[in-house]
Amino acid sequence: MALLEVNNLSVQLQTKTGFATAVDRLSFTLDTGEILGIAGESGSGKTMTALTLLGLLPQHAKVTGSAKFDGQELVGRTNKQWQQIRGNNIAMVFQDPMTSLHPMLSIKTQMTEHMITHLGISEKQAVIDAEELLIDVRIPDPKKALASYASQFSGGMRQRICIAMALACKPKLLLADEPSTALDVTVQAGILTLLNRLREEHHLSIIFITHDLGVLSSITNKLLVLYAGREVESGLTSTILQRPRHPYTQGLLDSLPQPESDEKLLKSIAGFPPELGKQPIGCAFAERCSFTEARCSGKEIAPTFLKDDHKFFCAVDPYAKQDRQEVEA
Amino acid sequence: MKKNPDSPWRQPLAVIGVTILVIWVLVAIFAPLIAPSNPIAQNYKELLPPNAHNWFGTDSVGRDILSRVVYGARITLPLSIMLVILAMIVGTIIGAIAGYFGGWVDAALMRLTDVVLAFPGIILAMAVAAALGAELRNAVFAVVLVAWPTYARLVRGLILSSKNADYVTSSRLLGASTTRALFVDLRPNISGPVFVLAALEAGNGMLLLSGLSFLGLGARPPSAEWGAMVSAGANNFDKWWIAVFPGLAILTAVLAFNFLGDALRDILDPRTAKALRE
Amino acid sequence: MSNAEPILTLNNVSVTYKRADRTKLTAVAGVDLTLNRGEILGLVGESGCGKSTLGKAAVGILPTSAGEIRFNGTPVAPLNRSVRSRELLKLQLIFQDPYSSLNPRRKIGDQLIDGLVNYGVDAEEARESSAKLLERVGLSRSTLTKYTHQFSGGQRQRIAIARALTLQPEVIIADEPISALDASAQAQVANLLVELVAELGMSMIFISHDLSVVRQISDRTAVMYLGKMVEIANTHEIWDDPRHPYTKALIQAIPKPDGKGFLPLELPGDVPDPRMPPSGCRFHTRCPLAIAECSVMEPKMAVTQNRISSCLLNNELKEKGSAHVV
Repeated sequence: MALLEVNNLSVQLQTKTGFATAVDRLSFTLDTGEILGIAGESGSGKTMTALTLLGLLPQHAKVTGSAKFDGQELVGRTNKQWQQIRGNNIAMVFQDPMTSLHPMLSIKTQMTEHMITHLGISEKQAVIDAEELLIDVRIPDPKKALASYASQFSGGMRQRICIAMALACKPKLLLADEPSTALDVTVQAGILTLLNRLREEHHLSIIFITHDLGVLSSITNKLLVLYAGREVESGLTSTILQRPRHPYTQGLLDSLPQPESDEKLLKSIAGFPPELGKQPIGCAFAERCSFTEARCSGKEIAPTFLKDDHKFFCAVDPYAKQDRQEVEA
Repeated sequence: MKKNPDSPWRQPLAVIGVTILVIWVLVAIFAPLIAPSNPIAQNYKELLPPNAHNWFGTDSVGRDILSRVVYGARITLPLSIMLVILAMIVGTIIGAIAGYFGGWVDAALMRLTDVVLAFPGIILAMAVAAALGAELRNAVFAVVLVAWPTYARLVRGLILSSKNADYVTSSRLLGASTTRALFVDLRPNISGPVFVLAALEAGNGMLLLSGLSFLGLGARPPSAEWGAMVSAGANNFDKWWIAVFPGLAILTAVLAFNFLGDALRDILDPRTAKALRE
Repeated sequence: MSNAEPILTLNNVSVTYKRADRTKLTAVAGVDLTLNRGEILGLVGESGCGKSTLGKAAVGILPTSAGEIRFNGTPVAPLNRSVRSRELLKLQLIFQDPYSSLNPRRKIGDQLIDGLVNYGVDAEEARESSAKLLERVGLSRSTLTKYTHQFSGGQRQRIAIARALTLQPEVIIADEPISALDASAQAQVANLLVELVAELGMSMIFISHDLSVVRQISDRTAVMYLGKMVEIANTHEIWDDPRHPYTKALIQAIPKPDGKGFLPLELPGDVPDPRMPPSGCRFHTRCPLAIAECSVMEPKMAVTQNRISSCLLNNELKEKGSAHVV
C-alpha cells in the first residue's frame, strides 16, 4: 500500500465572486522513501496541494475527493484531528527560512517546545534530541547553535534548522515547498544532498514543490506537472524530462536557459495562465499552446496512459511520432 | 442607486464626521439666524432648566445657552483650525530640518521636542498661557507651543525612513538635487500622514483650548467659548444643563475631527485605499 | 576582443562599510574590472560576495574607500549633496526590488519625467518621450497617470527600466534585476534588457546569482568571491573551461534538468565572515584543491594561457599543479 494515495482531490477557494477551483481532480500516489516532484508556475496549485495535505487551507476552502495517508483519510478532518497528523506524521519546510523561524526566540526554545508538546518528552531529553537532529542536518557545533537566534545563521543554515525542526517528530512525509529557491546554487546543492540522504537513511517520503526543473531532475523519482490547478503530465522524472509528451512540459523545458545555443534571448511561454476560477472546459493550456486544434476545447481532455505510469492530458499529442521514432531507433 | 466603488464615502465614520463638521460650520456661519437670542444678553430669568422657550435652558446670569452654544461655534472652531495649521507648519519645518540635516542640528531640535513632550500638554499650556496673560490669543499660542513637537517627530521620522530609499537614490542618479529629491519624492510621503495627524490633533487642540478656557486662562467672560461655558457649569453643579450642552458641542466636534482623521488616513494612502475598494 | 573600447573602468576599488556596531566590513577588496562599449558583462557570485556593493559603488551610490572608477574617462563622483554631473547621468543603475525603486505615492508619469526635467527638457516633451519609452518596454501610455500599486512586480521592473532609460544612458548597471520577480516574468525582463542594450547601443553589467541566465545573456562573465574577483573570461570559455576552483564549484552546483538524477555537487561550508576574511587566498577554507601555501600567499589576478584568474595554483604556484585540471 502506498504511503499517500490522493484520488480526485479538488480544492475550491472562496473569492469575491464565489468559489474558484485551485486544485482540480488531482490523483497521485507516493511510496515510502520516494520523492515526488510537483512542478508548475506560480498559481498552478502546487502550494495549495501541499497545504491541503496539512490541513492548512484558508477558512471556507472546500475540499473534495480523497487523500489517504497510511490508510487514514485526510479530507474532512477537524482541526483537532489534524493536529495528530501535522508535525507527527506529515511536516513541512517552507521557501523562506527567515520567516518560518521566530526571530526573537532561541533555536533551542523553538525546537524543544515543539518536541515537548508533541512527543511528551522531558526538556532534558528534548535538548539531547535537538542536538542529534542538528548533527543529522550537518549543523556544526549544535550546542552553540541551540543557544543562537535565527539571524545569526546564513540562509542555508537556517533552512537546515527548519528541516531539523520538521524532522523532530519523525514524520513519514515531508512537504518541501520551494525549500531551496531563495538560496545560492552552492547552498542549494547542499540542501538537496541533505534531503536525499534523509530519504535514504530515514526512509522519508518527500513531496518537493518547485518551478525549477533542474532541481526536480536531480532529486525526484516521480514528477507531476501542474497547470492551472490540473495535472497535465505525470510519470518517472527521467521519462518526463527526456521525452515529455505534453506541450506545456516541453515549453517549461524550452524556457530554461539553453547553454548550448548562441541565442542571447531566453525563451519563455508567451501569455499568462488563466486566472484562478477561470479555467476553461478542455485544455487550460490551449490558449498558449502552438499545437492547439478545435478538439482541445469544449470537452474534457482524456488522459493518455503509457508504460511506467507515464500519463498526460493532451488531445493533440504532437510529440507522439517523435517519441515512437526514438523508441524504434 | 449603485455606489461608486472608488468613493471614500463608503466609510460610514467618514460620512458621520464630515456631516457633523459641516453642520457645525453652517451653524457658525448662520449663527445670527439660528440663535434665538443674543448670546451675551441677559434676557431671561437665571438658571432656567430646558423649556419650550429656552431649549437648552439659561445660565446663572440669564443668558440663553442654546444661543451661546451656537455662537460658540464661531469662536472655538476657527481657533482650533487655526492653531492646528500653525502647529503643523512649525512642526513640519522643524522636523524636516532635523531629518534632512541630521547630525547636531537633529540632536538639538530633537532634545527640544523631548523637553516639550516631557511635560503633560495641559500643564505646559497652562504655564505659558498664565505667563502671557489670560487671553484667548495667548491660549492659542500656548496650545501651538505644546502641539508642534508631535508633527516634528512624525515628519523627522518620515524623512529619515525614506531619505535613503531606493527611489530617492534613483532620482539622485537622474540628476535631482538633494533638495529636489527630498521635496519632490518625499513631500507626498509626508503630506498624507501630516494631514491625518492634523485632523486627529484638531480634536486635541480644541480640547486643550477649551481646557484652558475652562481653567480661566483662555476666553474671558462674557465671550461664548465652549470651554469657558463648561467651566461656568462647574459652579452650579446641580444645574446639569449649563455644562452638558457646551460639553456636547465639544464632544461632537472632537469626535468628528477624529473620524475625519481616520478616514483621511485611509484615503491618502493609496494602498489602504485600494484594499478598501477590494 | 582586440578592438574593445573600455567605457567603465574600475581600478583597485575597495568599499568599506562602517556598521552599526562600529566594526568595519570591507565588502569589496581591491577589484579591477573593465566594461567595454556594447558588451554585456555578467557579474556572479554567492550572496555576500560583494557583487551588489561593487555595482552600487560603480555608479557612485556607495563611496569607495580606495581605488578609482572612471566612466568615459570622467571620475565617478559619489552622490552627495550636490547635483550629479551631466556626464554621469549617462551611467544608470537598475535596482533589484522594483517595489522600493519607485515611489508608491507619486504618479508614474511624474517619476518618469524627473530625469528629463532635471536635464532641462520641457515637461510636456518629457511626458511624450516617457510615454514612448513605456510603450517600448511593453506598457501602455495610460501607465503615466497610474500609481505603482496597480502593477505586478514584472511590470514595475519594466517601469523602473524605462525610468533609467529616460536620459539615454550609455551604461546600465543592473543589480539583480530579475531575482525579485516571478519565474515567468524573469525571462521576459531579462530579454527586454538584452534587446534594449543592443537596440540603444548601451553596455551593461548584469549582476545576478542566477548563473544560467548570466550564461545565456552575457558576453563576458566575472566571478567574485568574498569581495575579490576570482576569474573573468568570455562567457563560453568560463563555462566550458573554468580555471578557478570556485568558478568550477559554482558551475557544478547548478542542477541540470536532464532527467538523469544526478545531485549537483555541494560546496561544503559557508561563506566566511567578511569582517574576518581568511588569510592568503580567501577561498582556501572551502577549496578542494587548497595546499598549505594557499593559506599564506595572497593570489593576484594574473594571465596564464590567455585566461585571467586569481588562483595560486594557476599562476604563482603553477609548478605545483594546475587547479583547473582534475
